[in-house]
Amino acid sequence: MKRLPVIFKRQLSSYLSSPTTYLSIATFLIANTVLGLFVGNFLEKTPENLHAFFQFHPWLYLFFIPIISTLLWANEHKDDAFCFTSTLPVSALELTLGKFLAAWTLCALTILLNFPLVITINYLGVADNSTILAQSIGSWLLAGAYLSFACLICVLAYNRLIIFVITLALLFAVSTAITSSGYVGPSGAHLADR
Amino acid sequence: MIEITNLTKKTGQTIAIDNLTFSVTSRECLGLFGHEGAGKSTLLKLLSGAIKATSGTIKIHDTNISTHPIRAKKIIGYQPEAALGHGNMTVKNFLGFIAEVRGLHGLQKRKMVDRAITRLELWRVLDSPIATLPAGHQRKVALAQAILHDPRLLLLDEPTAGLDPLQKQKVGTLIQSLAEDMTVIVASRNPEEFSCTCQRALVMAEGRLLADAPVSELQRSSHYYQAITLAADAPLDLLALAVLPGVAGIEEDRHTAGSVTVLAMPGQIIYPHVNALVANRRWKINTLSLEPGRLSDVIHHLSQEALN
Repeated sequence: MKRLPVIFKRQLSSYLSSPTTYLSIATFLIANTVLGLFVGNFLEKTPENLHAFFQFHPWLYLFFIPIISTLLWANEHKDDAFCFTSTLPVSALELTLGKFLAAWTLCALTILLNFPLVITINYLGVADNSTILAQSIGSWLLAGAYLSFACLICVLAYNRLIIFVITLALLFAVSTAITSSGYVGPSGAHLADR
Repeated sequence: MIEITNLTKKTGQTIAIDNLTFSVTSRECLGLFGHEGAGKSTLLKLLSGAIKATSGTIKIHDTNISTHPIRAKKIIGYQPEAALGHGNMTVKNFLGFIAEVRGLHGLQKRKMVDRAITRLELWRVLDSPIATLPAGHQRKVALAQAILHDPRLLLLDEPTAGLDPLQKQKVGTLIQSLAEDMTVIVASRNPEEFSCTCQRALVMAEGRLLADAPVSELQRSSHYYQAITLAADAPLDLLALAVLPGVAGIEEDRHTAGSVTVLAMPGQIIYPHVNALVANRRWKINTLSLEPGRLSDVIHHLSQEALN
């Protein structure tokens, strides 16, 4: 596992040097804020935590995760370059895990960029910061689970459009299954309902 | 020592490599020659661990590449014919990344990267993204990453493709100097470029090994061995050349007017006779050269025989 940090660093810098990354993060954050404020009625319902925002994460991840997953193996899928990567002294586990962790770190970074909402809640009234933390961790874990599905698709398909479409379809099926089973999001609200 | 035993690679119904067996000693420079589709690149991919063999074994310095791939890959440097990927990385960052993957850190990493940059003269393009570089520079970057960690086995796939003649000469000299420290296997469609660099040549066609011999021996089997090439402004008396003792035939160069090649019969030396004729007739000759034999001619004949 000595090469894991090298692969992780390389993949993260590859993400951070791509305009697609910034565009998808910005779209995710804007959509999340708009949905939370206007559809989730944040100000009327639960202003002490971010449930109004986090309840939309499973649906927003439907688009966000497939987009970032298309960048996961983009370098290797170009011009048969995977052949060259295979000649480096890196195990398949180091390569896959390094890339997965980099993408998951990007998800963490995206969730962390919700910090203006946390500051606003704390400024306006009584904020339940421990619930917000739990909601954030829950969202991050959900992103990790979705990302693992996306990694599977990346191994099976080379074309970026195909990766995006299949991942989107698979995650939609998973999201629908989660929602129909009574889970309403990473906010933990389903537990409170019992 | 590299030992390849009964190596076979099948892709679907096609046999890309057909039961190859050969060995390469340490610090030997081996040329892999053949026409397009002969299996040279596939063989290098198998040796580098990029693809797995259908059957057979590859041992690199007593390490079996199929059972200990990581250990074997640490001592191999591979320059692919295709793109490296990572096109948006700058040359400097890419070489740094490869150095880290190869286990180099700190001062040692900087030293090895700087040495590779100096050897391939990459200073001017260090901050340019790889994808924006011309093909020749991309080839040099691929070479630089292959020699970065001082591999014990260096695999080069068409190392001079896309380079200008001066750069080809420089890369040839570099390969020659590298062959003093490591085992080098060079695959090329232009064998003449490596006739001076490689000591031994393997000729391949359709995945099969057609010849395994020293380069000089292959050159001796060429029709052009001991041939004389003459170039003059005025037309030469071809009949006078043809009747000289030991002359097997005359070939006129269609592309260069006034240039003819006088072929020698096997075992015959025609140089003194041609020289005497030129002196007697007082021909004004621009160039007169004795040919060591053309590898491309030998490879072409061997490949044609194998196909028929």
